[in-house]
Amino acid sequence: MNRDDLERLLTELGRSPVEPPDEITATRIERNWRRSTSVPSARRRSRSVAAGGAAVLLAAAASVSVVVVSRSTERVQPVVAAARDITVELPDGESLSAQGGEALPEGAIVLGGPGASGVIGGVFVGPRSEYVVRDGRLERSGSSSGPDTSAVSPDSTINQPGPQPTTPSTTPTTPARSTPNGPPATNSTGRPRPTPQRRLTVNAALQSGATTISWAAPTGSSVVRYVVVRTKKWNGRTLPAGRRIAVIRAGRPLVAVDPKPVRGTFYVIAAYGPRNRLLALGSVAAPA
Amino acid sequence: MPREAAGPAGTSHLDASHCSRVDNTDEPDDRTLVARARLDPDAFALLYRRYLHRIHAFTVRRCGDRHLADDITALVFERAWKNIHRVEVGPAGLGPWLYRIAANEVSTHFRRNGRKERALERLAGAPVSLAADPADTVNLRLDLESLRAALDRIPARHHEVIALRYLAGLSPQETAEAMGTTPQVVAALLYRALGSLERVIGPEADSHER
Repeated sequence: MNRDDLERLLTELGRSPVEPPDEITATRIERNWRRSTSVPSARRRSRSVAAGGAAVLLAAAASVSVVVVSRSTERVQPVVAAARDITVELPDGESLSAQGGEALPEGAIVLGGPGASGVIGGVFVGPRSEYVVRDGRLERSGSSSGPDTSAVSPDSTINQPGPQPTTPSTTPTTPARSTPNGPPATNSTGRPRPTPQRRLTVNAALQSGATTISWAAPTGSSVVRYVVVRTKKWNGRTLPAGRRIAVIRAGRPLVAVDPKPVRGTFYVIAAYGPRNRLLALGSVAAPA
Repeated sequence: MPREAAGPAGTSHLDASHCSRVDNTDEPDDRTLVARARLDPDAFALLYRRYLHRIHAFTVRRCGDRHLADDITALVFERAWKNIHRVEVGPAGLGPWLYRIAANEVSTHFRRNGRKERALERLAGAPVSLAADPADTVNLRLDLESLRAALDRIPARHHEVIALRYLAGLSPQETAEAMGTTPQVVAALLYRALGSLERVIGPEADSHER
């Protein structure tokens, strides 16, 4: 086979018609890449640095490349290089735990928990610090107490690992977020802060060996249903795993009964809106 | 050497549009979608649907086995999704980059799986039928088998340039963009690659004739 034959054969092979993949195959392939996570290297960095005290130094080094990556996008966005105990409130109201590799949109609020340690867009995020994304950069918010403050503070419970068994009536909040059902607080820029997860006011009463849990509906929210869970631990941010006591549809009486209460536990009520969106949370200690 | 006008890139039978050319002008171009895909998987899904057939056809032509091509296509888009934040979209769009990933995935697969896999590939046969005469079809099939086997044996960069230029049907400019080099380098590389292929395929073709 000489070179001309080779070229002819290659050209014919390149021209050969091929049936497109069927829809099942196309869907399977799409499911496959959707399952994998984007920006894996940043996530790997995040996981590896989240473990120890040297984490922040490594994360700072990692952030250099992450910032470069973010600069290559058309619109600059700070990217999470590493994060531990850091919550991000998105402008659309969603609240989530910061993950390595995620780019934060304009207006997002970054809240450092008591054990916060991370680097976002080249900025170190420490315990109880608060930032807002402005012009593609993290700007310090006035309500934060600084990245180097003590890790122990009585005010914030939003990111603490467990519930407070002695709390009689709920609402783990930080001062900056302490708007259980009221209007949103404002941040240092004077703009209304999004309060994606409002705090429900919850009460619990022991009657004839059963606990009756009641709560008030959050104002102005399109709640579809409430889920009541009994738990021993709660991170204050998400509905914990635990025994599901009741699911109450909106419009029904906001009361749930636990026939077998357990001492030292908590009841957490989560209010969900359309498309399973978490709108509000509240908790109450089981009455003794 | 492939000719510009009549070369694989200029052929009309290839999937209608290439690279950044978008049939529907209302759809956002590759560059816009890539920027959005960095934050939004649905934007990447649009790119996926845009390029799925082309990449799949490329892997089918290269592998000669639809099932294997399905798996390799899945790997290509998984890798593309994982690295979407790295890609710099050139004037030719995302296509050259995807084809390069596909070429590398195919090459890696065959190098990893070696001779045994290639033998199985041959049993599976080529999925294409180019010749009208059955006898010609048999000969062509043998030729294609030899060609595919030979492509696995030439240096990776030679395989890459041939795959991109002929099997993906990229123009010299697009091939250069995909390989991060110039069209002149691509032309020289292609000349050497065809030489490599000729040397490898010669003995195989002889053995078929015997």
